[in-house]
Amino acid sequence: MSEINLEAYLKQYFGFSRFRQGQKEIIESVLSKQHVFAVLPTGTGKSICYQLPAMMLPGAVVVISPLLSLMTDQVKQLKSQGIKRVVALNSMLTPRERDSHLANLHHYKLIYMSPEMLQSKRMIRRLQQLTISLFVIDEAHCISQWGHEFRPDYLRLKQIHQLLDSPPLLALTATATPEVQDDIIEALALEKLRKFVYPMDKPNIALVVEQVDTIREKEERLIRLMEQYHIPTLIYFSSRKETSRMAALLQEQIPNRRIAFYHGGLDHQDRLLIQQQFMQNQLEVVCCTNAFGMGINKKDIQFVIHYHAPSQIEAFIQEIGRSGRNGQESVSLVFFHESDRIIPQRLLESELPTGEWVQFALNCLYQEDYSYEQLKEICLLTADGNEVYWRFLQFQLERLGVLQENTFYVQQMPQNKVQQQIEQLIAKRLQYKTAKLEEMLEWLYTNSCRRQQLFKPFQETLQPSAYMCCDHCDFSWTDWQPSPHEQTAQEQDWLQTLMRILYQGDTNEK
Amino acid sequence: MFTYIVLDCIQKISGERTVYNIYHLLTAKKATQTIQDSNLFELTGYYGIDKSLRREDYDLVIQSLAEQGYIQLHQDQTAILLQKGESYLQKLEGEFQAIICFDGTRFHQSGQQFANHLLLFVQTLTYMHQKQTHFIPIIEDAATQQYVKQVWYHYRQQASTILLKTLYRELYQLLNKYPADMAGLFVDHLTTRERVGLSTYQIAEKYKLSLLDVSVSYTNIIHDICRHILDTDNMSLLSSLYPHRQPSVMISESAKQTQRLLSKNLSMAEIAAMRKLKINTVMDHIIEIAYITNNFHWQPYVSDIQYQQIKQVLQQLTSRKLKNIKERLPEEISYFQIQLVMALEK
Repeated sequence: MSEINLEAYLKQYFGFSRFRQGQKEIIESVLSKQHVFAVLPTGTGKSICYQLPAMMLPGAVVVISPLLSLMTDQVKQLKSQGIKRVVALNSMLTPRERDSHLANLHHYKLIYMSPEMLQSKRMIRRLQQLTISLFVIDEAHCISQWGHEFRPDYLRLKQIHQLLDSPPLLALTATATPEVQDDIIEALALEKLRKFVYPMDKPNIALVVEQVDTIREKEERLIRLMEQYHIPTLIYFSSRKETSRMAALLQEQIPNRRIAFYHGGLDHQDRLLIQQQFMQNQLEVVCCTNAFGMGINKKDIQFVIHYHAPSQIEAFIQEIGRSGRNGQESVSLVFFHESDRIIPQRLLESELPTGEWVQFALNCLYQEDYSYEQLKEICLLTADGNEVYWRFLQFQLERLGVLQENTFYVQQMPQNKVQQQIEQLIAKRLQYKTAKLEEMLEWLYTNSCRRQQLFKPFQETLQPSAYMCCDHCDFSWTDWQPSPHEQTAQEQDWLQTLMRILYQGDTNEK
Repeated sequence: MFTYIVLDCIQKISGERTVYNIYHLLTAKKATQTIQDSNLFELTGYYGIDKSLRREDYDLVIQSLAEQGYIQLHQDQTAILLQKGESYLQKLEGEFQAIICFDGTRFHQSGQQFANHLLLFVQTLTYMHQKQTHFIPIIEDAATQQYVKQVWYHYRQQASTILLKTLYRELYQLLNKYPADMAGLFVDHLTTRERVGLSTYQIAEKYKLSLLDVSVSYTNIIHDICRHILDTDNMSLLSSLYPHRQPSVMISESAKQTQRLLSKNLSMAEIAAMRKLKINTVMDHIIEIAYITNNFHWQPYVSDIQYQQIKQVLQQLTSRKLKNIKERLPEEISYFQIQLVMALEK
């Protein structure tokens, strides 16, 4: 494939005239039917690496992604660009929609799918009838038991890849330490695998941490910064309640800025509106939880603030990577208050089931003789609909041989042994997550260059910073003077607004 | 506006049903009981006007009305209006009565569909006008997208400037009679090329209203537009966005099946046996059907004389409590017959 060709395709389908770092090498390897593993930082256009091949190759490209919102956002985005032969298969579809998509599957060039969907035999049989020209594992760090977001379903992808006759495979991730990278490569167990790793540090983002003594101080400091910097800004919070509380407070204090909040608890339509407003610069500041950002491809964000520190470095790097996507000077600020230790610790404890919960579930299985469906139901019920616990248990039972093809074989291992094994694993996982949190907190206390410390686990060398580096090196607020964004249209009465948005020139139209 | 609606309901029901019957009315829980009640107490307008209303939010409203001394809440969850509530309701009536247009019976389904069609069509039209064929649709529902696509195809020969002008004229005509905030609240829902619509929270904040107020005020105007579409001829463009083909009759799925069987001249007992239902359930269906059917064939269920007797008591009594009515009638007249006549005498 010659150079001119690829760039012409890029222009034709996506309207870009040049590739970003890494894209071209990866696409070339994919097109020459090699298996590829790539670490590409957030915001560098990972998705182009399989979207462009999908347009060029015969047959279909299957993309496995664990993030529902990412999947649907990408499909929406592609359709809005005129690329219509794309589909997302996930648990949100009605049975009727799913059947119709399945029947028409041969029609699509790009098929997005959640890993759970791939577990069904029917789905695999259907895929076996198609020509799969590329098998993509997005968010590949989910494969690693020691990755920050381990997904049991991901471990089975290897087997499914083989069932599909091992088409060229592309595993992509934005964040993986060398240790996790090795884990992924080992799990994929592919003979010839090309590996591309690109640096994750962004030279245009300055890193700042401000320790505060009281919560009040945090609020006041935030208000002052928002008064001062009129640029597109994301503020991350660890709780839904805080996003709405602070958005209201900020709006009240700074009436001339447009501020909104966003979290997973808002209804679908409202979330869509807030996203679109932010994209179109109708909103300047969004107070959000980590539910915001996935699939948001806004190039002019210049300021990312963590009102609460995140619970791990990987998530932090992803979140600050949403700023400065055009290379413009940007700042990441983390507020830190001593009490911020406690909340993330509690959060991560709630991500894993307790020993008692496991015991309860095993009692149902071993003593009450529950069927697979019954156990699933009671597990979802007792965990408040939190599917994570059930999936965790399901995977552990499979791993221990007690569950095979949705049927229990309790004679494989006595209950107390299973309990013990699972509890050990929970302890280990918890320990791991606590260590990740410690790593994050430790970084907040760093006394040396923050950039070096932050990226040390991921890469050996750093790119020189394009502007200011960090608060320990050279950062000062007075030296950061980004040009303010223009204000959007003034408030009008309803009639003027209606005329404006429907292009009805003058009042004499009445 | 939400408070007004709740107080209005409480007054009309005057303690004969619980506050949760009102909740079921507003959310269109299609229980036969709800449908009958709404007819009985002349509250059909409110049927299904806020289907996404959450129970806990509704509870808060009721609680606060009780705490402010507007209503008295009883152990059995019925409520009555207190003196203070009466005068408050009167004050609110002055503010809202002229603009309230709810017609839940006709529009609880089609109104919602129409609103989605309208939102997506306005977005499509303004983008196309600017020659922007690629945009992210503000309504994701596939059926809505399909519908709007067809409407758009229908107008393919027309210049977008003409369509915009017509749309503007029709909306202006409707909105002009509302107070500025009401009209503004509606306009702020629209998403166009120039501006993304505001979220419910943002609108509530802007006009200093509660989320529930925003939701019902918007629905009110949507019902108003629907009514103009169906009852007048001067809404040509908006009319094409109304789902004419699906007349939304207020009747439960199950009652519909019973209706089909009745039309084949099956008796109540036969239908009950066939559908494995209790005979009482089939009776409920028949009452439901009676409410919505003109010229309902009631003769198999109640004799001429019985009909007259029941009708007379209904005219004498103000209470709509079945027990009170039955007490004044001959023993052999059943609750079912009373309810049936009540439905027919609406």
